[in-house]
Amino acid sequence: MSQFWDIYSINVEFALVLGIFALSAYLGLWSGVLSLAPIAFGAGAAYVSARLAYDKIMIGEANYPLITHLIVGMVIGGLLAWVTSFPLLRLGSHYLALATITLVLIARVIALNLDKYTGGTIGIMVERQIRFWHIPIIIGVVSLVFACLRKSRFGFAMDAVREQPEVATSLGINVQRVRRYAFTFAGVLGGLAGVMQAQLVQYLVPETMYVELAFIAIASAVLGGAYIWVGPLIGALLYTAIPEFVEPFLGASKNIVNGALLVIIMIFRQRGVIDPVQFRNLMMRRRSRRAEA
Amino acid sequence: MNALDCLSVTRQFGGLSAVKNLSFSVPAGAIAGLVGPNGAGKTTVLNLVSGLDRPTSGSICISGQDTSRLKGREFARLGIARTYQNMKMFKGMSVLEHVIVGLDLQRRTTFFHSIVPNPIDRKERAAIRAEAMELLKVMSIDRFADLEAVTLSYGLQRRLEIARAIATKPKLLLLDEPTAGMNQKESSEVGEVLRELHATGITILVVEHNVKFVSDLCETATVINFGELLMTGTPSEVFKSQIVRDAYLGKQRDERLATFSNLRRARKRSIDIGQFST
Repeated sequence: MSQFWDIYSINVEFALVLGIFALSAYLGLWSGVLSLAPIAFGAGAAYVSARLAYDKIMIGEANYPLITHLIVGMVIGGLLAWVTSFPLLRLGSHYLALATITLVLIARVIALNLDKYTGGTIGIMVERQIRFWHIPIIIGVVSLVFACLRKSRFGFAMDAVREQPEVATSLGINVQRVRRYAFTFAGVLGGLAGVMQAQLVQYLVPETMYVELAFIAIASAVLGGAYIWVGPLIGALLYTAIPEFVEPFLGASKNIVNGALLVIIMIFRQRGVIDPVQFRNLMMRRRSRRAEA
Repeated sequence: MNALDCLSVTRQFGGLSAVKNLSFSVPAGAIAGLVGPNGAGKTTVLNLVSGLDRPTSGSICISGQDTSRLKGREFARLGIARTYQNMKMFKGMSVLEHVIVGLDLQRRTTFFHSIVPNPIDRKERAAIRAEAMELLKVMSIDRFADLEAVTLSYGLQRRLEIARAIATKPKLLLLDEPTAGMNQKESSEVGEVLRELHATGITILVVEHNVKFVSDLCETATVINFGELLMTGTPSEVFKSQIVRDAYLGKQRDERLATFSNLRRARKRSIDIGQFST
């Protein structure tokens, strides 16, 4: 068991951080917006945090504590999201999705060209301060927020905005504001996950948080189920675990399983692995059966 | 004062005028019907009044206030609520949750109350839940509170839609074909509910096809055809009038049918002649 843990603990860490990225993607989907932007905000936050640490170490002082880095990451991610939400959310759904992909591409170009601060193609060293046990705690806090959000005023507003934006408007809900808050909150999570990811890799180059990670985050959310917060977390775990299980059989082409799995899920379970509606209907049926008996 | 004033409202879609120079009013506290044959522009009128769509020209006043500068969501604050011809339920949400969304306008908590467990939010959630349950009882669908709304029957979904609309505490309730797809019993039940709502002081404007429903329920009926006003009056006056009967029962349609059968007869004759000649 401990040997297993030595080999795979790093995978579990990456899976959990991917879970936070997936949750940020899920927040977009929850308010009816397909957005890859949190990855770009995560990259921005990671660079700021890495730079702060680097400067501190260069002048021979001790690094800031982990909690400072996480908070800085969340603030930077949230700010970037808030500012970009004004032009981006004016777009319709498909154009918005494309614009957020572009944002991820632009983030890399900016990181390459600001080499005075980001190290350009060479990148920047990141001191790993995060311990394994920090990650479940962070996931726990984030989960608590999502559990609270689910049946809250804002959660219901997001549900309504996703399903019927016109009706939501006619009920007096400010659709644009709901989307902006969700987008910003996704940015906060993106920033948090970005800082964590950079610390896990211990090295930050423009490709660390790029389109590939963005697509994996969205795919995890869709695979796990984009209708309840547990879904993206499960999706991220599956997305990381399944290729490892098939590695003995497929070798280097193990990642092909994820693509196949996604296709199968999209055909047979369009609402993802975890579907709260199905669960509720199941509970209702059981309750009515008990009432009959 | 009038709850609703439409002043020479026109709405054009490209070359088509869905609503042409239409003026009519609904006095506060009335139950009014808006009737007309298919494609007369009734739903377009409702979309214009509820802020879903904007008139090309003319103005719409709600309780005397001009709405041309208002944003779509501000219509709800002004006291407008509506239902839809094709219902537009929130997929995946329960019956009770639909009404909770309708009550959003009354809630005072902010985004930050939603993401952190706190007593203010907990209290509000409980209060809103109780109020939503109350509204479900008014529409007598409280038994189905925990079911997914889209799994309900057509008639029950119509009721839920009305519950969701009145949750915003409207002064003017717009109903788009509330009895479509219902049987006689169900539609008379809906009529009963609407009468009760009216008694609480809500002004109601109903778009309907069902002549009996309108005559039983409404105090006034406004008839439009091809986007233009045909006449306004009490339902019995209106439905007796020859112009309305022609429009409603389709004089033009009869004419069109006549031309069509003439054409067919003519073509048949030519085919017959053709057969003879061979």
